Amino acid sequence: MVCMDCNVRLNTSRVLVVSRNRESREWLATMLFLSGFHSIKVETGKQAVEHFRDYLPWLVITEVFSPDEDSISAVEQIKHLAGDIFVPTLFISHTTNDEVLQLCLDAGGDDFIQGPLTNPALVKAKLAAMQRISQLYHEVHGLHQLLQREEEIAEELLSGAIEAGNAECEKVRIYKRPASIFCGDVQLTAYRPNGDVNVLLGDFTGHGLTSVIGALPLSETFRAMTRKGYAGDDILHQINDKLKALLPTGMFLATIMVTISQDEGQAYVWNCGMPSVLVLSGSEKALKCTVESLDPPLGIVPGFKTSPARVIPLEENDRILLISDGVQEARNRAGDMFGDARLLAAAHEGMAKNQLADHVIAKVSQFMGNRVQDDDVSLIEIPGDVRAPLVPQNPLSKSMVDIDALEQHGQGWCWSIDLQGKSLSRINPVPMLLSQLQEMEGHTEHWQTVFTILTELYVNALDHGVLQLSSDLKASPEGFPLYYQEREAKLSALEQGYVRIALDYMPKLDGGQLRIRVEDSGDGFDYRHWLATHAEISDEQALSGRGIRLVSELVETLNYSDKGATVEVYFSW
Amino acid sequence: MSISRNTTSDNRSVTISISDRFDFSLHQDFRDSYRDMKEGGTRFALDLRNACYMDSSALGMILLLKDHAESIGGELVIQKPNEVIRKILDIAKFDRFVTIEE
Repeated sequence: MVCMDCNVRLNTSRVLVVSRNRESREWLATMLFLSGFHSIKVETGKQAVEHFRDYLPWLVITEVFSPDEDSISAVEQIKHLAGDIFVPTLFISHTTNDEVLQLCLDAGGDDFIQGPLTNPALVKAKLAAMQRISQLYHEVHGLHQLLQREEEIAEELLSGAIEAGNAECEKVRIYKRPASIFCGDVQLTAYRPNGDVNVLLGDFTGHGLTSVIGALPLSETFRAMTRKGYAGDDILHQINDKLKALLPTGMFLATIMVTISQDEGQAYVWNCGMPSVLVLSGSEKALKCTVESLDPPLGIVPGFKTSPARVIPLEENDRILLISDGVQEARNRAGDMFGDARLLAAAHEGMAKNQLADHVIAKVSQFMGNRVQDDDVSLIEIPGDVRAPLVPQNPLSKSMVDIDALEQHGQGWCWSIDLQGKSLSRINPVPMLLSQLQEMEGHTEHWQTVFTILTELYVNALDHGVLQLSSDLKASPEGFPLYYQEREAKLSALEQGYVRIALDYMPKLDGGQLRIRVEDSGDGFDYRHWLATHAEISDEQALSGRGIRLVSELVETLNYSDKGATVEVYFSW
Repeated sequence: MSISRNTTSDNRSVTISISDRFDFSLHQDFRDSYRDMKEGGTRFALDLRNACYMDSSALGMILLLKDHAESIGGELVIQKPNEVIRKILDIAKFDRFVTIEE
């Protein structure tokens, strides 16, 4: 027997009266008529079910004499037919036998009147009570449906806006299992213009509708800033300020941000209030390190600045595993939590099988069994070799600068920025330069290359020129963290020094040319010696000096001057 | 009842004790436990010695209590979290904005 559609409307003026006794039927019909209802009178249970289906009365009143009365099974069938719709049933009982009364209740009966029927006032009162309960039920049912519908629509809109915007990055395995329709966990991926991949896993307080209010501004900020080339910490600071302004007190976002840089062969990880990130070695199939939370969740402290990123040298078959607290806190039927030890064991097994995420998920699901899930469970597996797809480039012409062409067109422009002292630690000029280019000359695939060139030249000018950091520190993988610590310390104490960047743009018939000049306040370096010793060696394993080699491959000409404190490159397309 | 409250006779110091699970189900009761305490400079102590578990909505509830305490020029201290709860407070770095007494 199929249940009725829950949107079926019952007829609020019809009442089904079931009795073998004609007198009872007529007496009830009169009572009902006096209360403003129309009766449908039937004699048997079978008829009752049929008439219920045909006439959809809002109330069923049925007489019961003995347990083998088919009126009890009729009520059972009517209740089943009605499914989610509430149809009150009133038994008129001629017996005080407890067993019979229990059978009536089990069948779904809502109330009794003791027969024989003699008291009109009692029947009227019962009718009114049934009517009140029924109205209340329909009101709640309607509100519930409305809520559910709104949640479904909002969920569709949000997943459309949030996840559909993710970079199409099949290598990054994203898994989520929400505790309710709305998942408080958000997983985002996007590409930086230089080919780096940014991945974010966020967990809003609580779950359900209210926990995703912040998801839209979060995903928009993450994507827009990543696309413009901002660094992970800049993005986190902006997200923090947005959420702080938007979310009520008590709501916040625990989050992990990971930037994977293939060019540098390392990952940058920020953990703000999330469970530890696991980094697993592909060659040893074992835990390489963990990145624990160093900062509070976002959206609590105004103007919050994150701790420096953990920088982790990465090999291509290494794996980074991000999890929300729903994983460790998943409970089994006995109420035990999945916990750190089981997670670590599952991760090791998963690495051995080359199915990290899938194996961990399988283990968590197996552990939970069919227990109702308390919290959203999500997990992201990032392989060490992930990068943005390469944009096809036109082969670079190695011709020298075409001075005549530049002068002929006279449509070029020059734009420069001069950053001094403290502003160097506050402002990253590369995204600004890039958005300047985009605004003035529109979007082309070449900006990705320009971004790489600008980033490398600027970082060199700042790190080695202004901050006087030595690349020697980066000679070993262990030196990397030291290098970044020192960089952070020097940057925050910076009082003087400058970096000037000037862009000279010149349109060409079928493309354009950009001269990039970067000048710093440092002492320069022995670029002649460096070029002579480094430029020809293509040592892929070298941990430093990659930047400038990369730039020289991308540009037509690269010239140092001013003892190495000024560099000028030409890039044409 | 898993929330109880003790106030000193001068109403200047209040201890809110949580037992069992400290999670979203206590939301309303938790708010009710401090909203009427408006005496300037009141010291709120959140006693967690009998709480066995805390979720992220409880962290949010603590921030609400902290806001309330500060809005009347008072302060909030968290007392005696067990190991599990201490770990959750540590991950969220709550010791940066709330005093935690062992």
